[in-house]
Amino acid sequence: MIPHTFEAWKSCIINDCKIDLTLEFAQKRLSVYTDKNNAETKKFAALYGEQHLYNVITWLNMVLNQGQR
Amino acid sequence: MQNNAIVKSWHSGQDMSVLNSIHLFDVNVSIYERDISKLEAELQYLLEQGIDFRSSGSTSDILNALKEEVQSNGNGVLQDIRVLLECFRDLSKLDSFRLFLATVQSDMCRRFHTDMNDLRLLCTYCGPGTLWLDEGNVNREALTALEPNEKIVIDESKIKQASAGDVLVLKGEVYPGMNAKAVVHRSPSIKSNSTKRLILRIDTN
Repeated sequence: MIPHTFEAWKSCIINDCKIDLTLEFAQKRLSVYTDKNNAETKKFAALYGEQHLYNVITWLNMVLNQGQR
Repeated sequence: MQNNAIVKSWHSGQDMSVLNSIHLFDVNVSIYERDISKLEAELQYLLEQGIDFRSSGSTSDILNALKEEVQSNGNGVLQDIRVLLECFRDLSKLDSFRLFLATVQSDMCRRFHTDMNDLRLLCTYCGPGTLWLDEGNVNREALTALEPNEKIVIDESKIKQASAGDVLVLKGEVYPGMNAKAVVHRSPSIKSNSTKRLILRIDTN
């Protein structure tokens, strides 16, 4: 149920959650998840684990890189 | 002495003011039950048209953009969303939102989950509504361990479901305050029976 690949995660965000994976969205999420002291980041890591947090940061960066090409 | 009193994790009522109860510590979903039959013709039109509207910004930014999308067949839905958006603004005490109004024909999030946000407003205008769990019916350990629905739900017969038109305000994982428990919920399955849903979702931005 927890996505393990970029494509699966992207599908989860776009198709299941119906959220537009825009650059603005990716930037906003990254500013939260790269701040280890942010309460939301701590909660996310507690719920889904450090590995998933790391994966999501990587995938959000991929969205930014793809958009900026 | 141990306190074994069962605290109700949800409040519902037929007056919009019931939504204010979301800020009570033990409450994680508030439900405003209402009759939306006067909007039926407009809603059916939007449902069949396959609307997919997304907008973010202030309430006025969103409403201005929404006008273009929904006014062709009447003002009722626009006015309804205006009231709900303003209500959500007052509840959240924030001024920037993301709004999603769409006809949905596929399953959305099928696993029981909590949202990584503070508050969310949901209204299923047409079709089956959101499924949610009373706190007493959740196995939080299974939820945290990412177990399947069968393990998360203690008693399947006690899964609750919103009706079309109901307005739900859901508490999420980052709702401010000590140890507030986010409501566990999921979207209904619709793909197998070709049902359509018309849903409104408002998040803080």
